Amino acid sequence: MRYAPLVWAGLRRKSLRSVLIFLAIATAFLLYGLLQGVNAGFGHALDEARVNRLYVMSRVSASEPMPISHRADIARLPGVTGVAVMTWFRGYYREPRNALQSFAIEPRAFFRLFPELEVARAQLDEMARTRDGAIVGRALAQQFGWRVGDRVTLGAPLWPRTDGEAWRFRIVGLYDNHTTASPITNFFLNYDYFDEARATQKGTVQLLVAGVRDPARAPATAAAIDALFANSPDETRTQGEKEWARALISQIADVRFIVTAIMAAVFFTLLFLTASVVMQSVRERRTEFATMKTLGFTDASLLGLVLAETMALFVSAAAAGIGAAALAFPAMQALLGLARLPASVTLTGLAAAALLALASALVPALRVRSLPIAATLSGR
Amino acid sequence: MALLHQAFAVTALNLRSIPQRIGSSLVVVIGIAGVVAVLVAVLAMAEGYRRSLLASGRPDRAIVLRAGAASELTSLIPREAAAFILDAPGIRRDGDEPVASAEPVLSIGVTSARNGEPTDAAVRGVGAGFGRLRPELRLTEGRMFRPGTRELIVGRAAATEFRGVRIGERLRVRDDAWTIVGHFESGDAHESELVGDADAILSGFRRDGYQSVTLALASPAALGTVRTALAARPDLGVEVRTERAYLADRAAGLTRLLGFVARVVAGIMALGAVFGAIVTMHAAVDARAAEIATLRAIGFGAGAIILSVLAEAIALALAGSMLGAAAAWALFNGHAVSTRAGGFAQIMFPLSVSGGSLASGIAWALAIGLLGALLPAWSAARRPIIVGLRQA
Repeated sequence: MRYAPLVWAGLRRKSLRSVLIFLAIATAFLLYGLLQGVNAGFGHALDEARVNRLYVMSRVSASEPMPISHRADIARLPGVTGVAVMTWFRGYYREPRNALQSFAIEPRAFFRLFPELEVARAQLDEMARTRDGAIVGRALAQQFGWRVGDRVTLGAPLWPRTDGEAWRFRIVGLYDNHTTASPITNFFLNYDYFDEARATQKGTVQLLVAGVRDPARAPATAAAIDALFANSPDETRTQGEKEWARALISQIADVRFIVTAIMAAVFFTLLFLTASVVMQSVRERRTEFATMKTLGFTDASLLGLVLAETMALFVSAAAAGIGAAALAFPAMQALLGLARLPASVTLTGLAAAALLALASALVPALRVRSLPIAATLSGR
Repeated sequence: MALLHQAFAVTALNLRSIPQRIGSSLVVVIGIAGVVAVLVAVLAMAEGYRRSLLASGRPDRAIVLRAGAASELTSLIPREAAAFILDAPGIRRDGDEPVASAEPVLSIGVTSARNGEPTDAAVRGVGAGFGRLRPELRLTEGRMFRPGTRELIVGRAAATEFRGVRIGERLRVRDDAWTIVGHFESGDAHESELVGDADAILSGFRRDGYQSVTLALASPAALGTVRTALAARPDLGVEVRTERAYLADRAAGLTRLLGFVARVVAGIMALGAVFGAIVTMHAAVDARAAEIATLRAIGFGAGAIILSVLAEAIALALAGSMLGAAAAWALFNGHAVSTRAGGFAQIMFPLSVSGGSLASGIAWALAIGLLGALLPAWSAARRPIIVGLRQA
């Protein structure tokens, strides 16, 4: 720790330059935090996936309707704890631009199968009692200023009603989810009300979610479900939640590759910059180092000093950059799909900073270690 | 003018001595190259997507969707409504038949040829008039599907992106097998689709409504006629737009997002590059402190010195932008990207490095170079001559 003042003095020697390098590194890591956050956002869906839920959809495609009678058949299978129905409502609020993640569900079965969605018992009961009731995510309600008891009208071009009226709902509850970093913005409406009022595809659902008692038997149960409907006009394809999430993610784009490519370019350039600056700084301070060696500092300690200086600069700047990224997250959660920066991104970032510092300073530090005292002091 | 004459002379001196400072000069060049490459690459994605969608747009074609539907994904037009639309005045007619096509669009699960994972392909049913409606669609292999049969033709991009869509192969859907009988190209986003007869698709997939009606206008001005006719039946709840307007709206969302991402990412990189540029230009100026002091001592003005430092930075920035643009062009131009982009199914399009994005890249590079050199140039000119001479 007695070296700390020396490290600090070394950095302060050309404070403008140190500040600029600090800012350059912080900027690079701000970008790192944001981009890796996007990456992690996709990975999160995989991590959060539950192993005791299976997703049953039509073999034709994910949004193709299946007869609702499938539900009873699946529920009778051994090992299935419950079956929930889901259909995409694809509604919007006021303008088509405000598209909502909206689903028609049967409230009791659905929330039992998704226990991580926290909703008050009384509100759930109210939803089951109220045909046009809706339970919405807390963040969604905040976004539009909705409160429990409000009436809202949604546009749903895909689902014209037999009576030609608009789709009106009454918000009877809000739900939360503390296990996820994703935004809480779903809109749940009653399937019974939806199916009765809609003009097309009556008596069908797009997705059935089956709970399995024993996760180890999940693949066997999935196969059993598909076997139930094989060679019928409504064949199914059943997947675990992880595979379901993975399929969705891989279809968006090769985001991981793009992010890695950008960060590689950024870090490579940064390394170039810092390595040349450290090299130059060491060259400037030749006489200082030589004097210190005369005073008794060992070669190894001077090597350590140079490394420590660069390390301190890098790690503090990286922390600042990642900290700034973390601050930006809540504001950009709609874009990034995550409400907070994951800790893993911070830790990997700091480790990367240490490695870059090492890479930048190693060669100059080794030069300092083998600096010849007399030759340096006499100016050669 | 003496100033320009001096500045020119000093700049020539600076540039000739760059090889002595090649390390730090390279830092500026590479840093800027990185920023430009990333900016151009992301803009190429936005441009490629936009071009691919807009390629379909012709001023004499219009598309009818359900009112309030942003795209075919959220649109539904029942049979009776479609029949009414096809009869509307203002549509070009071939004898008695309207040059129009009522189209169901849906997705089916297929396997990606890229990674073997399940993915979704868009299937479009077209009406009898579609050949005259879309003359740009040309068969490249095989033959056209026969109306009323379970046959499909596959677009060029879809043929490479998905497995099991070669000519003669079959896709199993429920109890039916759909046979691929031809491949086509059309120079637009429809190349990502599988196309078949509308009635066959409606019955095969048990649908009773269309997603859109595309029609050829008797003249570009006839749009108003069609619109009035449709407005006379508000119970149908449909709206008509030119194909161009519709596609521009559809492209707008993703294009805006990508443009935003490009600017944010490149903006942050540019900020870092500015810091880096300041440091290296400062070092460059410091290394030549004696030289600059001597020049000023023999009469070169401070203005000339400043201009020369800026000129050097601009030269390095231009070199960096060339490098970055060349890298982006070589690596990405024409490269096919496949994405879902909030639609039914995968849409494939080639990246397109346009003149506009290259110009943006160069502009950014120049800005970085100038900002980076400002502070060092100023301090170079202001340092007392005698201090500089002492370093000689």
